[in-house]
Amino acid sequence: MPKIIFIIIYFVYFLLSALQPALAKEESPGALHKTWPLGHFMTNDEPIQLKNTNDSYTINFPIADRVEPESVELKLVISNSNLLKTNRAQLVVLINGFVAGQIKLDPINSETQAKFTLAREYLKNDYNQLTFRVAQHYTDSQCEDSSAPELWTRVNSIKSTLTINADKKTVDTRLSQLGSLINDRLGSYSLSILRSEDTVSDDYLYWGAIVTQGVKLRLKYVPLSLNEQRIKPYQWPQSNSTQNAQFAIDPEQLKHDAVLIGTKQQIGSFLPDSILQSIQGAYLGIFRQDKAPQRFILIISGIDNQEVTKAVQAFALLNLGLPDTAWTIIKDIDFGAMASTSRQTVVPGSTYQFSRFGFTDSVFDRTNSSTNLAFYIPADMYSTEEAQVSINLDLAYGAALRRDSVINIKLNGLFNQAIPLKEASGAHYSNYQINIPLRSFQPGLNNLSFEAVLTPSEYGECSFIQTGNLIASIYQNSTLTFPKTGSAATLPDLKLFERTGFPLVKGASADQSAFRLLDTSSDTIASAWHFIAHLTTFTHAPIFDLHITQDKNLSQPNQLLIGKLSEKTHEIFTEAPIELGKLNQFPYVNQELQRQIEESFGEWLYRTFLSENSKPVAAEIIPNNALITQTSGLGEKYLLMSYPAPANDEGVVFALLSNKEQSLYTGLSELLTPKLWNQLQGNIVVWDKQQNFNSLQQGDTFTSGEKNTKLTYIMHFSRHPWQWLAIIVPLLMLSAWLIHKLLNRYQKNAHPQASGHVD
Amino acid sequence: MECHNRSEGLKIGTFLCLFLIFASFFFLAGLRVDLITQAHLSVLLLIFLLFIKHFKFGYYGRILFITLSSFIVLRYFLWRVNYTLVYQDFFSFIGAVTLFAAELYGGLMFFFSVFVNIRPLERKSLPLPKNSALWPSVDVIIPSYDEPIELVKITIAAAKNIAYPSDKIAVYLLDDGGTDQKLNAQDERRAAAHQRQAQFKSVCSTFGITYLSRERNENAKAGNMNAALKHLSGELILVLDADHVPTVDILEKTVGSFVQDEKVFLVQTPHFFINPDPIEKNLSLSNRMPSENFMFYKAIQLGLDFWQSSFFCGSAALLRRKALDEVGGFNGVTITEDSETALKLHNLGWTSHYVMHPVISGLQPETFTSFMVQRMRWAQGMVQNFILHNPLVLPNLKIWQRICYLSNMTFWFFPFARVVFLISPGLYLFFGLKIYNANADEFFSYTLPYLAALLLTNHFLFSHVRWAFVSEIYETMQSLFSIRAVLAVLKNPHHPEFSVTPKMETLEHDFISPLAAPFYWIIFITALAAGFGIWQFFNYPEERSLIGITVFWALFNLLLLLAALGALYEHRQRRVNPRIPIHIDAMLRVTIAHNSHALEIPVTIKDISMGGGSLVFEYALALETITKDIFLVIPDKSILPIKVTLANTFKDKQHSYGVKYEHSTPQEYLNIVRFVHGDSGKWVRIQQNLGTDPGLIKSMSFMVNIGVYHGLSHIKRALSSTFKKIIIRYA
Repeated sequence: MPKIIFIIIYFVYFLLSALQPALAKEESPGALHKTWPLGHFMTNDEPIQLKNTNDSYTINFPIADRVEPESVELKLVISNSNLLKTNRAQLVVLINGFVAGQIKLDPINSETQAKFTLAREYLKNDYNQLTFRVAQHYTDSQCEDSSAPELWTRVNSIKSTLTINADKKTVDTRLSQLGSLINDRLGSYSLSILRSEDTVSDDYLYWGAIVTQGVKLRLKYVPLSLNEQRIKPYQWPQSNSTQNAQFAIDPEQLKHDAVLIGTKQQIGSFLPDSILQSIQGAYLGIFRQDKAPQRFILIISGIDNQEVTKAVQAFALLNLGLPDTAWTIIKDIDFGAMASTSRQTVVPGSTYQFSRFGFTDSVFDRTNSSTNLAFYIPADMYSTEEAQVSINLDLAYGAALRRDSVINIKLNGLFNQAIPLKEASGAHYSNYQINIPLRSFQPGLNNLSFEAVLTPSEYGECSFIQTGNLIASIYQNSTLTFPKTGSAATLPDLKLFERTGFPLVKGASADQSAFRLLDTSSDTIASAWHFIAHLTTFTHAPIFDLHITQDKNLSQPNQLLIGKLSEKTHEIFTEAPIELGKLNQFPYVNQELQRQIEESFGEWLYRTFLSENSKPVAAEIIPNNALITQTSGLGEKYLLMSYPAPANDEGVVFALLSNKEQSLYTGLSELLTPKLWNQLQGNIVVWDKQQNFNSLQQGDTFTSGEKNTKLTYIMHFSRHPWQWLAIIVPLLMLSAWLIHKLLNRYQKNAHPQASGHVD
Repeated sequence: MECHNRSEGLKIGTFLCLFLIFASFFFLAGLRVDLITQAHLSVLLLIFLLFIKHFKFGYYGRILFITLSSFIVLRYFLWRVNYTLVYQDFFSFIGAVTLFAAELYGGLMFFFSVFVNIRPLERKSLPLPKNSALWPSVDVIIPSYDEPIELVKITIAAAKNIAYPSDKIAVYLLDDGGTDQKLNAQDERRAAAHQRQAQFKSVCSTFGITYLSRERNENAKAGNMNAALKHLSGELILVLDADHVPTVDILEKTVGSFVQDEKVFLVQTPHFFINPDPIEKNLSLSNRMPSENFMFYKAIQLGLDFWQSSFFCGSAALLRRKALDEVGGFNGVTITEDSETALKLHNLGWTSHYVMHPVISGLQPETFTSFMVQRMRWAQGMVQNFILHNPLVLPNLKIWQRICYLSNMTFWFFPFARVVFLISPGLYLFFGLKIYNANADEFFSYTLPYLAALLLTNHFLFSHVRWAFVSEIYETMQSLFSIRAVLAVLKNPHHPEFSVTPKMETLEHDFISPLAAPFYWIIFITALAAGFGIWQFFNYPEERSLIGITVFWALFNLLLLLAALGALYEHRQRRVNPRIPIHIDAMLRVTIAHNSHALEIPVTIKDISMGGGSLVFEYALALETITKDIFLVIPDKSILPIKVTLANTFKDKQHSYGVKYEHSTPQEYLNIVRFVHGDSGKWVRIQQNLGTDPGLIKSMSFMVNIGVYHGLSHIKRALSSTFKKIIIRYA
């Protein structure tokens, strides 16, 4: 009997154990499990390297306000040096400063896998700090080189994963929560913009573009997945579960958070009376979706088009104080205080404190050895060679540092110069000046980093080395002074566009650009909106003065043509460097362009004095250097090209195209990934869904910018020294000849008796 | 009417041409191309300069050279003003602005200089009419203050020798040493004045010239000459300083201009000196290179003459009485009455000529102290003119005359610039003041070509009259003292008083000039800065390029200062009458004692002075065989045989003898003066034989050697003298 009971109990236990995973998967609809490799939260795809006797590495991962975190699972794949001392090597994992676990680093089994579960109590709805700290030694004694190369441990950032287990919350329908609702910090964010009419008006296109920008600005670097869709009024089936449904929208069409835009008349048929009656002006309202209360539907409306415009602009303004209510009527927006450039973009001839760019007082010590200052330089800032950016540092450092202690200054990752920390008793400089040539900076985002290398003055085996004095500070009231410059840029240049958005946007404005849709498919509309939203990466503010249309007749000098290729669209591109279907040099992999080796004297003369081309060189005769001219279409590829506007001397045309069988949005999404976007160069690029990417420079270029004669000459002659000499010398000879003739005349008049001396 | 329109059209065309030239010049000079392009340009233009310098290409080549170098200089200054004057901290900024101001002054002087010297006018003296009745009458005036009688007597005698119809020439001694004020002085000067007046009157009487004096010594030299004017009636006035001995052809070379052009108020001739100035003497430069004053009298005055701006230099000049009367005589508001008078007459439309033919021989100061007295007077006077009679505000001057006078006047501000250049390296090396905001690349692309252009231009324009770096030594020496004199004028433009330059001084021993003390200090500081800079060069590798450049600059200053120090070691000068090197084949007429036969022995006269000369014979003289009646027979028939006595024999040169002139009558004295000072051709030949240009590199090397050698000699002497004093004190 007892044996039978034991068997039964064992069987039941076994059954329950077997069923447990299946039971666990019975989750609520709001349950969320997302797993990423650790590298997803790092800036570079590289292993986490921990060196020396002490080292640490911190990554930050976000947990959105829209979810209730349950736990975070951490799977680590670790490899360590096989020379570590077993009893003195350890990896500690900390979450938000709390110890989450520790691993003994084994030199014999140097490949380790570990799994940690970080409990709810240590997590927060914000960025969470995950720190790997290592202590590792190669000897049992205290006498060792703390920077010995055998002291290393690596965490594989691709194989190691982080899983967030959470429950999605019901949407908090307060407008003030829009910011945290939109950025769910869980990978890409999806949004649907709903169209209530078949026709696509320019106003609708504008509203969608502004809304998308508002979303993108809230998302910052989080990828956006946008969906534009036509909806029709939906009749809910009569049932208990649907009797409280508010919106006449088919729930099957609402897969994501959604935005419904239109005038009261346009979208009235989708809204309940309670909301309709509220729309008495520029209206913004947030509500839960009927079938999925974890998702929201944002209503942006108004009595007329102007009010809708006002409402979408209010939505896009990030800092607008939206109320703690579900809806509001926007009475007025004063744009007077908005600057034409973003706060982080510098203006030539200005001085800025570091704090302007979000830099706070920074202390360097053994744990923190670098800090970064990020700012944007206008795309068309042209400077003469001597123009210097002055950095006046408010700087202090500790005493008794070794003389080889320095603060290295890097500009965009490249070492630029160093500040030697040589004073034995430490120092405080309130105006330590460093000059960096302006031309060392690049258009768009620039990172100026300060990396302290602080060395103790005491060293040697078995010496007590204290490091408390290894300290330095750079204060936020340090300044950055930019010289006055001109504005000029050589166009078209997709590299410049990639870094700055120029010339489609300049500062925070796109008033010189028009965005023209070649067709009105949802795919094209979403692509155009998404592309425009991406430009806010450069403006850091919504672009309100954009012009988006289907109209052919445009007055703006710069245009973006976006859409699908068809028979009708071919005629638009007669001036383009690539006319698909005709003879072209289509971008494909070729290592270097084949160039003519020999040149006649006339060609040499032309190249030296008039052309911007460099001396012809022989290309290596390998297949990859062949340049083929062919007829070709796009196929499954996507095309972005840029060329001088046929109708405007100062304008540039951008064309973003796909075949009509392809999803342009898919191609655009690929293009906007950092991997492809950072490769933009030349003026023609093609790519595909597999992220194969090729670029080419073909066709004419021109210099756009101030019509400043002096600046034009400076640019031109700096690039063509021989032309400069060829002009200066004859001009001086001519001047001398004229002076000579004038002197002869003067001498004849003034000294008739001595006129025999005149030539 | 048609002619008038054509002339207007030409004027507009000229103006447009000039405007276009300057506009394009400025525009291109201001274009800040990349450094590599600038480097290309600088190298190319410098090669052009060297090419033109070597092959000349006549007038056009000269103008092209100036145009190219001006372009380099202008580019440099536009670069300096636009890109290097950056505020970094208060003291650095003050230092930077001061240095830039000094440089700007140098740049301004460069442009003035190339403008003035763009086409020097070598004017031939205009011939006199054949009918001497048409020649204008001339009053020769010799203003004197306290010069020794022996000096003035020579000038008086030479004035009497001037070849001009006797009824049309009158000579006047204007003695300010014998004024009633001096004769009635209540101190020991009274007796000296009386004695001097008696001597002067006697000499005047002997030579048949008029002695004039006045009641009070007012307005210095100008007042003296103005006081005499009421006694004069000639159409022209020849002004001779008491130590400026005229040649016999002085009027022949100058009067023609007045006859041929009624608008001429002045014919100035160069001042030719028969002794070296103290710097030349102390650095042993005499007869090895062109005299310092050649630059002005053989180059700049020619340029000024081209621009109708050659001016009165106080002596060796002929002036039209009518013009002088128009401005109330000689103007003496400033202490340089000469240029002041010329400026006013140019302003009234009168014109001047400069005849570059030496027709006087004068004396320079013997000591550096006297030299500085003279130079400070010039500096103060010209700065006074700049303030009180600024050519920019005088209404009738032509634009080119304004520039020329500005050039003459502003030159005397050089002490400020020199002092700034001397102290600037120390400001960087000692205090780290960032007074020159440029990196090494910019230095080599802009500064070095600029310096090279300055050097080449100076050499191109003036190598025949001044070797490289001579100006720098002279200006450095003067700057420490002149700066105070110029500051005094700036503070009170009416303050300076006329100081007569001492002449005919003798120095019994070598000695260190009492003015040397400031140079010790500045040499010490500069050497310290250079040494400190060399230490920094090795210890601050991050600033090595800038430190290296600054150390080079400090060492260059040190070299100039050493040369200056060398010049402050005064060498003895026992001879009152300087010996003039010549080469004349003559005969020595002697009488054989035992048979009274006259015999003429061929000799070569190697040098002469007012006291005697050196003769070289083909063989040794049997002195005991000749009587004491020995005459020197000169081939020039206008000079009578001169009675001489054999004074000494130079043992080291077997056939060389020194002779002493003998004279017992005024006629014999006149004859000796005519022989020694009467032939202007002699002065021309001496000028021509003075130091041909050895080339830029050699002359630079020569100056370096001279500077180091004499500077170190001075220091050695100073140290040994100090040690001696210490030993004597403690012994």
